[in-house]
Amino acid sequence: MTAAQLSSMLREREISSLELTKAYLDEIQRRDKKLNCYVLQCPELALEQASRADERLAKKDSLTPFTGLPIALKDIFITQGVETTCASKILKGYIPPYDGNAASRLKAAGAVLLGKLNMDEFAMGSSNEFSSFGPVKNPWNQECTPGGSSGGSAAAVAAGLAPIALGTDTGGSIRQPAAFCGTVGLKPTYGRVSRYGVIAFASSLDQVGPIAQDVRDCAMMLGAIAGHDPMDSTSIETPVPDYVAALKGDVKGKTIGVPAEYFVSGIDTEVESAVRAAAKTLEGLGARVVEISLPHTKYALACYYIIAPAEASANLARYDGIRFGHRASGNHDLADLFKASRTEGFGAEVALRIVVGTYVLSSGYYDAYYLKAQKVRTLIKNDFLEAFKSCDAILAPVTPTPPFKLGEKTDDPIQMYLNDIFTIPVNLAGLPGMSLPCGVTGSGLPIGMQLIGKPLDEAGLMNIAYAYEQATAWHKNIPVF
Amino acid sequence: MSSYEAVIGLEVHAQLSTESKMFCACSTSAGSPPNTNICPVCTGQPGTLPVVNRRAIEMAIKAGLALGCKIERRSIFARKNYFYPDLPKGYQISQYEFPLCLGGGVTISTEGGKKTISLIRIHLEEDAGKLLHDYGHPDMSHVDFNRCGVPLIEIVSGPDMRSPKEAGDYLRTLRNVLVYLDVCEGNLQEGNFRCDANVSIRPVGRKEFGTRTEMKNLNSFKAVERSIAYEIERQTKVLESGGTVSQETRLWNDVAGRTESMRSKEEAHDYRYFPDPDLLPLIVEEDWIARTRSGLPELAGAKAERFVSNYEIPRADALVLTDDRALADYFEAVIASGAPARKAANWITAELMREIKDDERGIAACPIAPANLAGLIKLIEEGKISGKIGKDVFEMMFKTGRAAAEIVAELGVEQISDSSAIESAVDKIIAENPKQVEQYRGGKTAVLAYFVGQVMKATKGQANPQMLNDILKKKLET
Amino acid sequence: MIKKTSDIKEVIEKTASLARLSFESSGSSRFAEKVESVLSYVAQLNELDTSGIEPTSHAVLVGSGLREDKAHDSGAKDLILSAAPSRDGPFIQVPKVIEGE
Repeated sequence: MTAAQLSSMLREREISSLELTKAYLDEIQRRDKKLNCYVLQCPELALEQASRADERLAKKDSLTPFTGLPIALKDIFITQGVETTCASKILKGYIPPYDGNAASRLKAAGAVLLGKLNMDEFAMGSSNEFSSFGPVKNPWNQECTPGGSSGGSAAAVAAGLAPIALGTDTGGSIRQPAAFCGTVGLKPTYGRVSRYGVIAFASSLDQVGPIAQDVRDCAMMLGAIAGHDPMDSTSIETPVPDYVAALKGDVKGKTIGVPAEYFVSGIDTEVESAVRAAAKTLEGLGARVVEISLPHTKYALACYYIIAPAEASANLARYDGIRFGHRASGNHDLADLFKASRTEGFGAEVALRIVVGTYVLSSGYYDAYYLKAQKVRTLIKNDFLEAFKSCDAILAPVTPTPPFKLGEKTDDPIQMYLNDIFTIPVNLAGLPGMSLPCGVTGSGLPIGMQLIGKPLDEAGLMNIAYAYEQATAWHKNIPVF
Repeated sequence: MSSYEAVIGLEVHAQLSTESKMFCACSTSAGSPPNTNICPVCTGQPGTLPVVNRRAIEMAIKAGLALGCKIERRSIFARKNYFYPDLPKGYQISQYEFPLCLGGGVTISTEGGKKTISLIRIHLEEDAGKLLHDYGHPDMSHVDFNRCGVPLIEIVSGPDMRSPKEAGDYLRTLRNVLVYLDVCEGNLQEGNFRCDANVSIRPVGRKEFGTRTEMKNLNSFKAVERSIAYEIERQTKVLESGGTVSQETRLWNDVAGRTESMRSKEEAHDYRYFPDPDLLPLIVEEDWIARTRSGLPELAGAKAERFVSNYEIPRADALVLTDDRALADYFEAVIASGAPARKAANWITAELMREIKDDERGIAACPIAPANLAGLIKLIEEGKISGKIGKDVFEMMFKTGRAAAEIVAELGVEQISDSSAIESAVDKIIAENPKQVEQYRGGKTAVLAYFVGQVMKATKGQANPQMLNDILKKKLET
Repeated sequence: MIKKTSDIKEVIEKTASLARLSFESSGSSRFAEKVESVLSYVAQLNELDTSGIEPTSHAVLVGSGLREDKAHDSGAKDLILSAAPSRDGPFIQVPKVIEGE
C-alpha cells in the first residue's frame, strides 16, 4: 500500500499508527535479513513516536499527511540521539547532538522513524557494495545490486519494508537505485531541500529527495521536506507549491525533449527500447516529443569525478579522530593519530576519492583539473539551458544498463562510475530529475526512465510523471523475494 | 649597519566585535568556561553548514571604507585545508582569491612628514580554537572551541615600513581606526588584535627585496617594535658575516628579547584553497556600501582637526584627546555641559589623565560625570573656589564620584568673594601687625606676601586672592 | 603531466599523506593504479577548449546567504563533548601538540 493510502487510513482511524508501525517492524525483522536494507532499527523510538502520533490522530491535533506514518531514512541523515554512521567505520557509534532539517521536519510532522537505511559509505558508490555494513541485495534478484548509493532506501521501499524513504543524490544516488528497484525517486533542484543535517559528500551537488512507491507519494514527501532553511544558505527561498494538488495528469501541449547523446553505443537495447516506448506513450497522451542535443554530455563524468572528489576531500577532513567517531588506539603522536584514525576508518573507495580530490586541488594541479572542471560545468549547464528553450522537460534513460550483478564492477572504478553517465549531468546543472519505472527486462528486472526539468519545476516534472504513471502499470509490479 | 635598509610588512588579525560567531549563533564573549560557547556548527559535526553573519560583513565594509579600500561587490569564501586539533572541519573558511576589500592605506607621521602605508587587502575569516598544553597531563593537550569560529578580518599591509617605529606607528594608527569604528576592541594582550611581522633587509638603494622572515607571538606594541629591531640587527649580522637569511617563521621571546627559529619539520604547506561550496559568492550591493559609508563615525584625525579649529585648543591637547574615542566623547560632553573648551582640555589632559593613566579601562574608569567636571570648572571660573582648592575638590570627586558643589559646600571651602568680609579680616591683621605695616609703608613692599599669608590663614585659604590683593594694597597705602 | 610509474606512485603517496591517509595500508599498488586510472580518465577534459568560459561553482545561485547577528546557546555542548573519543573534564583531549608542528 502506498504512503498516501496508509496516511488516509490513519486519518480515518482504520488503523492505528502503533498497529502499522508494529506491522512494519515485524516485516523488517522477518525479511530484511535477506536484503540488508537497514543498518539500524529503532523499534523502541518508533513505538513511542507511534503512540504519540495516535494521540495526535485521536485529537485531530495539527495533523499532516505524515502523522503516524512510518518512514525510514538513509543513514546519511543526522538524527539526534540515534546512531548515524553514513555506513562508515569512521563514524561507528556516533550519536549526533542535533537533528538535521529533514529529521526535525518529519519529526514535527508526526512521522515514525523505523530505522536507518544502508548505503554506500559516505554516499560514494553506485551499487551499495561499498558499505561497512555489507551490500544490499536487489529484491527483484538477490544476485543483483539495488544500485547506490541510496540502495537501502530503494530496496526497502520496493520490498515493502518501508512505505516511503529519503535518500540523497549527488550524481544519481536517488535516481539510479530507484530505477534498479522499480521505485519512484526524485532529486529536486539544488537548494530546494535543505542540506543541513545531511552528511556532506559533495556540497555543490548533494540534494535530498524521496524514494517512493509512486509519484503521488513522491509529491507528498517533497512537500514535507522542501523549503528555505536558515541553517543552509544555499537553500532557496521561493515558496513551496502544493505538489500533490499539482498532479493533474495532463501533458497536452507539453514538449518533451529526448537528447540524442543519451542513446549512444554502450546503452543496453532493452533500456533503450523501454525509454523510447515511454516517449511514444507520452506522445499518445498529447505531448510533443522532439529530439534535442546536449553536446557536452560525454564530458560530464570526467567533470564530476574532479569536482565531487575535490569537495569530498575537504568535507571528509573533519573525520580526524578528535571530536567524534573512530580514534586509532595505541600511542600515537598527533600526526600519526590523524593518519591512523583515518586510514583505519575509511573504506577503500572513500580513500580513493579523497586522494583523487586532494590531488586535483593541490598546488600545480588546481588550474588543470579543478578550475578546468568548473568551466566544463558551465558548458554542461548551458547545454541544458539551451535545450530548455525548445522543450518543457527532458526524457532520458536513468542508466545505460539494467541492474548488474553484485561484485561485477567493484574492482574497476571507471566501469562503476560509467553507470552514472546519464544522471551526473543533472547534478552538475543543479536541475530536478526523477526516475520512474518504465519497463521490465527479459529476466524480470526493472527499467527506469528519467525526466529532467527546469530549475524549480518539480511540480511540472511530477505532473508529467504522474500522467505517464496513470497510463501504465509498471509501478504496480511488486518483487517476490 | 647603515648600508642596509629594512623592509617591513604587517599582517594584522582583528577580531570583529560581533555578538555571535562568523558562521553560527554561538556567543563570542571572552572568558566563558571552556567549551560552553559551542554548537554542532562550530565544532564541525557532520552535516552542519556555515551561514554568514551579516554584521561581520558590515564591520569589514566599515573598516575597508575607513581605510580607503575598494569594497568588492563580489567576494568568495574559500576553504583553507590543513589538519590541526583546534580546526574542527579540517579547513578554515577564509577569503582567498577574491577578498572583500582591496587597496587602501594608513597614514602615519614620520620625521620626514606624513607617509602612507599601503594596504594590499582586507579579508574575512574565522578563528580557530585554543589548545592548552598544561591542563594536568604531561602527554596530552586539551582543546577549547569557544574561540573557534569567531569572526576576524585580516589586514595585510604592503612592504612599506622602513623602521620599527614606523611599524609601531602604523599599528597604533590602524588600531585606533578600528576602535573608533567600534569594529574591534583592539586589545593585543587579549588577542583580539594580533599582528605578525614580515621583515627583510636589503642594501640601501637596491630595488629587490631580501629574503624575509615572519615573526609571530607579538603580544604588545612594544613587542612588535622590539622584535623587528632585533630581527633587523640579526639579519644584518647574518649578511655581514657572509651568510644568507633563510625564509622561516620565528617566534618572539619577549622575556629573552630575541626571535627564535621554530625549527618546524613543516612539510611544505599545501592549503589547497578552493571556493567553499557551502557558501554562495558574497554579493554586497552598492546601496549597502553607501549606507555604511554614510554611517561612518568621524575618525581621530578629522576629530583632532575639528577640535583645533572649533574649540581653539592646542594641537597637542587635541591629539591626546582624540587618541581614544571615548575620551574625545567625554571632552565634548564636558563642553556641552557648559565648560569653556580650553579649561576642559586642560583639566582632562592634566588632572584627569594623571588619575587614569595606569588603568587599562581608560576614561571608562573615571567616576566623574562630564557634567560634574563642567560644574567644577564653573565654580572656579565664577571665583567660587580657588584653582588650588579646585584640585583638592577634583581628587575627592574622583574618589567619590560626587558633584563639585556638594563637596565644596560640605567642606565649607567656598571662596570668600564678599569684599566686606575680606576687609574686616584685613583690618584685623593690619591692626595686629603694626611693625610690618610700618615696614611696608617704608617701601619694603615685599611684606605684602606676609599679609596675604596671614589673611589666608585666618580665612582658611578661602579669600578670593585677587580681591584680597586689591584690598590689602588699598588699605596699606592709605 | 605525470609520466613515469615510479613518479606516479610517489606523487600519490605524497597526496595521500597530505590527506592524512596512509597509502601503504590502503591496499598497496592496486590502490595507486586505481587513483591513476581515475586521474587519467578525468584528464580527457583537456580535449575541450574552455578559454573565455567562466567557472561554475554552484549551478543555482539563489540562496539568501546571510544571518542576523544574534547569539543564542545551542544547548548541545554536553552532547557534543560526550561524542568525543577522549574527554577530560570540559575539554577534548588529544596527544600533546608541539606548537609549530
